[in-house]
Order: sequence, then C-alpha cells, then structure tokens
Amino acid sequence: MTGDSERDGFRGQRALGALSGLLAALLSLGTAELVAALLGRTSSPVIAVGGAFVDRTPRWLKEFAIRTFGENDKDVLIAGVVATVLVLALLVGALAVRRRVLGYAFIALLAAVAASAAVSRPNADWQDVLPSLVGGLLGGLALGLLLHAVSSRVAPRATTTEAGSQKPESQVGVGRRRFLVAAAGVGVAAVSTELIARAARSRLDVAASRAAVRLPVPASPAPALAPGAMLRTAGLSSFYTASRDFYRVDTALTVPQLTTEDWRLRIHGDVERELSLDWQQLLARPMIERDITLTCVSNEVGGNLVGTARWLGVPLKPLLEEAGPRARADQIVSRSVDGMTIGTPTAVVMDGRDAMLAVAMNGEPLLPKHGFPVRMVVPGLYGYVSATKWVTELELTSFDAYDAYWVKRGWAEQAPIKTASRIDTPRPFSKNPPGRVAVAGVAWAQHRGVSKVEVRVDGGPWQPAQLSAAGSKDLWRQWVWEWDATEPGTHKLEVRATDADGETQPQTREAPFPEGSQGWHSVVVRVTD
Amino acid sequence: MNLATRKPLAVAGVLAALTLGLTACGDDGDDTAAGTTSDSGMTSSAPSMTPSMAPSMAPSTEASTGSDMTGTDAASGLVGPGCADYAKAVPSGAGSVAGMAQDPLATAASNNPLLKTLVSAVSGKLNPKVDLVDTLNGDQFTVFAPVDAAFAKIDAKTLATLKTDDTLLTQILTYHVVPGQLSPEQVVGMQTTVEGGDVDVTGSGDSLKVNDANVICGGVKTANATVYLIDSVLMPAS
Repeated sequence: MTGDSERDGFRGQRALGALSGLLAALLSLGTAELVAALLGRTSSPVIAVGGAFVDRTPRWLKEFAIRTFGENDKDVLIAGVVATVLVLALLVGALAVRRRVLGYAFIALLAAVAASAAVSRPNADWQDVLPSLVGGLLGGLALGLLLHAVSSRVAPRATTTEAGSQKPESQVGVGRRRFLVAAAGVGVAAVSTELIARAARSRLDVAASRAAVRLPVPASPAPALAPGAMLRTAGLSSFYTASRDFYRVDTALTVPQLTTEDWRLRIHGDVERELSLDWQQLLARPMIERDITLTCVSNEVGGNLVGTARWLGVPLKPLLEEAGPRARADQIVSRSVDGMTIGTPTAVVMDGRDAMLAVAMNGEPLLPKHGFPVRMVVPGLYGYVSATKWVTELELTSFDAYDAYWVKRGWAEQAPIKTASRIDTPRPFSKNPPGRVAVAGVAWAQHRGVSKVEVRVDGGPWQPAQLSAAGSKDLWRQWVWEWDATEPGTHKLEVRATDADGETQPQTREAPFPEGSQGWHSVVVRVTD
Repeated sequence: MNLATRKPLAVAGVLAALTLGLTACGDDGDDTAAGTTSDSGMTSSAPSMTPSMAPSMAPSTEASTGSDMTGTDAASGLVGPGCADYAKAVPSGAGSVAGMAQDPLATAASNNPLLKTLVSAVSGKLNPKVDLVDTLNGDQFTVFAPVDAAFAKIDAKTLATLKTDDTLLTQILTYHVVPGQLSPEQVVGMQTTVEGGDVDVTGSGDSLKVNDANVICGGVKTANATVYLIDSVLMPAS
C-alpha cells in the first residue's frame, strides 16, 4: 500500500515537474520575445536560433524543407525550434523535481545558446543578449517557484503515515492550491508576454514598412490654391488639418497593422475580369494629388468631425474600368483588413470625381490610424459610405444584394454630404468687450461647393460673411464677418451656408442618424459692459 | 409642458429608461452585440450616440475635446447621496453614467430621465428664443443641472414668465454653467458662472451644496462637460 502510494506520489510529482518545466520555458520564450520587441528588434532569440540552425544545416535538408513547406518554411522552422525547447523542458522539468539544479542548468544552457545565436546574427550588437538573459532569468525564477510548490505539495505525504492525523490531508490541499495558483500565474504571464510581444512586433513592422515607403511624384499634382484661400482670423480652424489632429472614426478597437508587403487589393464580384494588385503594382500606376475635405456622418451641428487634407492616390475609375463592372453592379463594397464593410454607389465613383485609393495624406504615407497603407477617398460622400481604411477588397455587387456594416445598423444606404457651416470664434459663452468682434468659421458642401455664408445676431437680418477664395468644389471654405457688438448682454450668433446650386441649408434640426445632421449652428456669447 | 404635476425624481421616467435596455458602450468589433444595441437605439427618439450605434462614436474617436471616450472610469469620482440610486435605476444605455460620458452635454442630458425640464429649457422647447444646445456642446463646462423635481418647486407664475421672458430664462440657465470642467475636488469654493454671478459650492465628499441646493449626484462626465445634479434651481441675484 505505502509503496504504491509513494510510487503514485513520485509519478504525480514527475508530471507536475514536467508541467513546471513547460510553463517556465513558455514564460522564458514570451519574456524574451517581449524584451526583443521593446528593444525595437524585429528578430527574437527564437528566430536567431532558427537562423543559426539554418546556417549549420546541410544543403539537402534546406532544399528538402523549401520543397516540402514552400513559403511556410520559416514558420515550420520556428515551430520546430519552439517544439524542441518545449519537449526538452517537459523532460528536464520531470527530472528537476528530484534534482532542481538540472532545471536551472537547462535554462542557463538554453539562454546561453539563444544569446550566442543572437549575437552571431548579422547586424547584431551586445543588446541582443538581453532578451535571452532576461528570458532565462524569469524562466529560472518561475521554475524555482513551481518546483517549490510541487515539493510542498508532496512533502507532507511522507509524514502522513507516521502522524496518521487529519492535518496532513489539509496540508496536501494547501500544497495543491499553492501549485495551481503558481502554475496559473506563470501560465497567464507567459501568454500575456507573448501576446504583448506580438502586438509590439507588428507595430514595429508597420513602422518600418511605413518608413520605407517612397511616395511617387503625382502625374496630376494638386492645383495651386488661389490667393486668399486661407483666412488668418484668430481662433479660426486652419485650412489644412494636420494628419495627427485629423478626426478618426472607425470601429477598430486596435489600429490594424498592415505592411505594404502584406497588402493586396482584390477587385472581384460582378466584374468581367477579377483584378489583384500588390503595393508595387499600385505605386506603378499614375497618381493624382488633390485637396479634399472629409466629413463624418456623425458630426453634430457645430461638431469637429470634419477636416481637410492633401491626398495622393490612384484614381479608382480607370482601375474599375479594367475590371469591367457589370451593369447590375450599382454598389462597390469595400472591405478593410479587419472585416469592416463600406458600400459606395458605383455611379458616384465612376462620374469623374477624384475618387481614389489614397496612399498619402499631407505629403506623408498614411498614418496607421488613418488607414496605412491604402484607404479610399471619395469626395462628396460621408466617410461611412466611402472612406474605407486599410482597404484590401473591392467587391462589385448591388444595393439590393448587400447591406454594408452601418447600413445593417439602420444608417442610410446612400449619403451625400449635407451643406453645413460652423462658428469657430467667438467661443461659446465667451466674454467679449464691446466693439468689433470677428465672427469666423468654416462651411462645406463637398462636390457642390459653398457659394454664400450668412450670419445673424439674435434672430435679426442675415448678413453676408466674407468667404475665403474658392478652391475646388470638394473643399470647405473659411468665412469671417465683422460684428459691431455694441449692446452689452447675452447674444446669439447663427450661421447658415448656401451651396453652389443655390440651396441654403435648412433650419430644421436633424440628428446625425440616419443620414447626417442638419440645422443652423449657433453660439451664445456675452458682450461685457 | 405641465411642470406643476411633474412627479418628484421622475421615478416613472427612470423605469421607462430601463426598458430601453441599451448596453453601455465599446463593443463595436462584435457584430452581434453592436447590432443588438443599435436596433434598440434606432427606435428611441433620443439622438443617441453611444458608440455601438454611431460611426462617430466608435471606440477610437479622437477628434473630440479631450474627453473620456472609454467610459470605463466614468463611474469613478462620483459624489453625492443619489449616485447609487441613479446607477441602480439607469444601469446601462445612453442615459447611464457610462453612456452619458460618450455624448456631448446636451445630448447626454436629453438621455437622462431626471433632466427633462432642464433639457426643454435649454433646447428652445420651453421658450423658442432660448436655445443653448450648440453653445453647451461647444466647449468645456461644469454644469449644475437642476432635476425635474427642482423645477417642480418653482411656482407656476414664475415658470409662465420664463416661457416668454427669454432674457430672464437665459440669465437663470447661464447661472448654472461654469467655464472649464471641475472635478468634485476642484468644484468646492466660489465659482464664477458664465452669467457673471458667483455660485458658492460648499461641503465635501458626498454632501456638497451649491448655494442652497444639495448635490444629488455630481462629477458625472459627458464628452465635454462635468455635471452636478442638484435638487433646486439656482437663482442669480438680479
């Protein structure tokens, strides 16, 4: 009886030891990856060991691997390295229950091999030993912790037969709990370090990919702005919106990380010929550069989800013509890499406006948050029906056949941007000394153009504002009106714009849902005594 | 709008809000969850902007005025004896503490079942000449928001006057607004309102007073303003 239970105990101990070894090794690997990522290294100890292994591999084996695994040969290699380490960790963990020094020696050896592989890689420097050393150190600590819990779990058993009381039973319970807590802790730490390392690594890759982009010279540069296209009133929004300040509206909880190398665009669905483009093919096409004002449908009256940038990109029309949309395909469903869908009328994209696959914003490759490497821009449409970021797919279909993401949620299927105007200055409830007060702001009616902006005070007669010089009809215009503020007290300023078709924006308030907000923006201010 | 017969603390309104059953925020990535919330959002009359239903309020909106977009810590930093009851009555949705943090002030207030009278007063419904919605949404403010029961304490004659006297109504409403967002720690002391007069915030912890009004629940965040629900309407010295 005693002999059996002792043997069972040892067997259990060995299994727990193997588990301890495995968890410690996983934590080592995860930590090493994380440290490598934090150091800004695109390579980690595992990749270094894999590389060193390849360097020492006979050619026949290399050729066999390439033949057998094709493009996946690197993944197979890395999986091989990781599997080898984990199998060894299981074995050593089982042995280390009795002789803990074996475990430490194994981890030290592993760290040494990884560190020497890392520094032996081309372009390596002394910092490349850090991931292996930190990984080894944490792995060793974790192993010590776990093995201690294993022995505290089993140790009381030896005394059980002598004491024969209830107490050891509960001690076993305590030991088991201690081991479970330690194992769970190490497991969670291992998984989280690995996940964080991966996220950091993909950010590094995208940063490197973005830094390597060389923007082509546009075949059709942006037309020069007319003199007087920008007003200089204090407190007025600048004509161009800096990329970092540009509004960002999307459903991505984390910014999708897509490199130019991984980017592909597929044009398919109701087309004569499916097309597929990679980054080099996209960049080889003639580019247009245009100043365009974008607006989000959720912008409230007076809101700031609107901005202007200089976009560089490939015109969509000729690209689609190559694919040859069929007559019934009245909708282009664009998909971003994270699965977001946006539906745009085919007719709008094909009507000659500057609809494009943009690769740059304000003279720089797109920021990741604005859709790097490629996004759509269609002048005159709210973003949720046109401005797909991280775009990887254009599917020609019909509005009858498919509802895109926001349309499924009740938003309008088609959504041209409504004429709107906003007072930027004076600020709400601001105190203004009596005298001249510059009332200024912006107005937009993309693809129709703004022809007139008017301001009124306290519901009085409408006064025409001075407009900045007109640019393209896809651009907003700044405006300013000099208010002779003589009467102290509270006053309400209101603004309304008229588009180039002569349509004045209606007063009736509408909420952004389902097709964009509407109404005259107002600001209440005080004139002091 | 019959202000005299309004029930104290609008218990019925709170229960009605519960039936909207909106979830709070943040799960746009999940198709099913977002679909569910937006469906109920569409049918509500409020121009609701919780993230799962409005493109602009996706979790990653960065264009607004330094606001707390996550809503996760919106419930922290609340003070006042009525906070727990409010959280219990409106645990989720656009009118909840987390939901209000997503919307600009006037929209957030319109989703709050305790603020119906105040919302009608600032949005031109009580007096067509007084519409402060854009102004209140357009900058950072601290707002002392009298609940419906507070307006119910005002005599009928005064209320009738406010429907026609836009100068007086504007004066009263702006007396409840202080420039900048003030946390419960910062708000205590003499504060100059946008009306020009001062309000005196006294007390500490869960018992704050604004002049003679008690704070029911304060430190409630909206996208651009911090709100303190109070039990009486503040009257500026005229």
